[in-house]
Amino acid sequence: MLSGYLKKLIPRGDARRASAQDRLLIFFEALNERDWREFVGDVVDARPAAYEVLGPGKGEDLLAVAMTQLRRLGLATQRQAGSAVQKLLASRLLAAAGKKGRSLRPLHDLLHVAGLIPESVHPSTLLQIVLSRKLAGEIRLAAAKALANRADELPLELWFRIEAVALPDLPELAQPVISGLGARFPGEALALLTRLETPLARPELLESPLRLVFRKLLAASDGLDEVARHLESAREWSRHLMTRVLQFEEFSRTLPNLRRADRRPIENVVSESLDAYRNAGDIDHRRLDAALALVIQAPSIAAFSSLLGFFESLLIDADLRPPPIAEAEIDRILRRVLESLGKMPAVIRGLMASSTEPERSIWLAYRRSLHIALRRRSIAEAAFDQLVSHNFETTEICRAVLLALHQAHFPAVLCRSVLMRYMPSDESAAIFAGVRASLAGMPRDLDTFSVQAKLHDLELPRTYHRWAREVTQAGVDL
Amino acid sequence: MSSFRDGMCLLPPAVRLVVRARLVEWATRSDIGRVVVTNLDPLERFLPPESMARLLGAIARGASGDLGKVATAYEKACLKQVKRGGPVRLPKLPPVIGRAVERDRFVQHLLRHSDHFGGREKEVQSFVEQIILGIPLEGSQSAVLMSAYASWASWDRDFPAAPFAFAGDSAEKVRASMGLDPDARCDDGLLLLIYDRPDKTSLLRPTVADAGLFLFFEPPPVRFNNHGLTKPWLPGLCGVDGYSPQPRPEAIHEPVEARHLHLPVRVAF
Repeated sequence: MLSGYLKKLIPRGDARRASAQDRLLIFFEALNERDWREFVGDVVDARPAAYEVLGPGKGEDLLAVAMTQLRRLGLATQRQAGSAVQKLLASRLLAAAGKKGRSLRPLHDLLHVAGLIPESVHPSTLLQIVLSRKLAGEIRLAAAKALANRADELPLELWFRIEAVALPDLPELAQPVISGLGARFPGEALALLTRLETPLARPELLESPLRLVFRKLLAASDGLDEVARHLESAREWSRHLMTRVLQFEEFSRTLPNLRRADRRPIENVVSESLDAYRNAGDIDHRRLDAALALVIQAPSIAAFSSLLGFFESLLIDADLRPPPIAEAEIDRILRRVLESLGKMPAVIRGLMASSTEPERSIWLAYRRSLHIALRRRSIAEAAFDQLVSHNFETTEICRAVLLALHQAHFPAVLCRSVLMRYMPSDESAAIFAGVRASLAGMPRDLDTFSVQAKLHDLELPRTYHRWAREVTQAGVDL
Repeated sequence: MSSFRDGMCLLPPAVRLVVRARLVEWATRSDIGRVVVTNLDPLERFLPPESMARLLGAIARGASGDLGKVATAYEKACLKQVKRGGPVRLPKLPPVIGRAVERDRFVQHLLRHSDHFGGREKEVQSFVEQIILGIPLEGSQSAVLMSAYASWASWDRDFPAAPFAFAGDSAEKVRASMGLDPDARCDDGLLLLIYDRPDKTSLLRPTVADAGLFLFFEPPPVRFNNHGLTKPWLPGLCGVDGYSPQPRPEAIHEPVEARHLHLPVRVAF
């Protein structure tokens, strides 16, 4: 027998009496609670009577179509439908108890409906389902999702109860719980995540709820501090997950302000950028920019070391083997990273002054990488600038000048202008004198001649000016 | 060539008689039955005879006098015979294809089928808003499947990158030509999901088994065997004056991930 409520349906062909869309609205308004129970039952059981009413389009899902139509109804009609769902759920739960092998899909779908229709199933009923260990995990998860969808009306304690009683034996509940909790209590949602000891089988499923949690938290004035605090206390896997979400585009402007954040995320970003570069010949500029900004905002030895490692790897690739990305591209990245390294003067001074490990090794690595960087035309000036600006010893600067002048692309005049940027002219003259003295002791090969020629050119203007001054003076005397 | 005739030949004579009787009863007593029966006989040609025989057998097994059970049996049999219409016959498959879906239905689909979201409608709404605004997908978002089962897609031979170019910006024209459910018209607009066809995703000709109990399907006319064609609305149903909807090319394919979407997704009103 066809369902009784079908008698109230205006036939499709009778479009003159009601437009297509109104036809369904009139039909739903005419249903009583018994009809509703029958109709919702037919929808979740995918019975043809429901197809007859809803007529889903190609490839459309009957329940999804039913839900779009139900959501268009007035609140009073939705409440009537909700009441029917509550009764139907109770009877289906009774029927499902103790019957193994029966399809759980209709019950699952009923809970889906319960989450979307206001005032349908009582939250306490849904909570009982979530907590019941006798029910299948799939059903408990569906009930938790229904609760999450009605999170605005739920107290904090409800989520704590789920965490204490149900989460240990059904870790998949973490997704709806964090989603629901995050709707009103985003800080608590993050705290719950940091308390989870065992990594989830699919942690990526938490990305979407976490995105909303961060969005809400970071809108508050003290949100940054709260995020930083949770990052610090998070376990390895959840910290990684949180960092991944924080690297999303929408948080890129906020991330650099995250002063108190653990340094670990920076290293992750840098190493992930390097992995991507190595494996796919690609650099995620957005992530790299976020990491560089974070390094500058919150400088530390660990961050400096991590960034330096990245810089060295890129340099080696650029110097020794064909890099997997275009030369111009790698130059741009090298320049950006080098500039970021140079923006941590306090860290650099600390490294330079330290005689203990690992600071000493980091310092030497930094100096070595700057020397290598002199070989690349695009970053030679920036590298030389850093070598001079960070107050190296005079002998060190002489060595740097010598190395720079050995590069065909590095003119002596640039050397002098950089030196004069940071030291008085007499000191820079002393540096050049030191360089000349070093050259005198070197084998007289082409390289040495080239450096001497550059220095000679550098001297020419001075000679010319002296000669011009003398000529002018002679003219005045005459 | 008719799948129905060939399929009937595979059934015992006694069953054939029952099938005939049930089809007549179904076609005369319900809207869905009328559409399904017309499609089965004589229009369907792409479905292999063995598959057709299974569908007809299911109809025969349905209880006499209870059309609900006949339809249920038919629906279940269809689910086992999907994607058997054979590949689309074109020298070069379209690299870009599109699917039009009402915004609220897409939200409901994601809510029900995508485990990427924690059950909250707000998360799904936020995702849909993101693709409309053209904000690049990040993390696991790009792996969200745009459909649960086979997708029904269309394309435009003259405008390879714009499957819905024929309709301009009119949602009503798209709905009418694509044969979408007129009851589903959504005030929030019609999402025009345009995406690259992944290399490994083949396009298949849709059959009655793929359509199941859906009303807005019809196999293409006789002698047109390259691909499916949409079933446009009858004149007068479309709200755009003077627009005469024409059938559009149609095929089905495996679910595709959101990473292939062309962003921003356009919303037609």
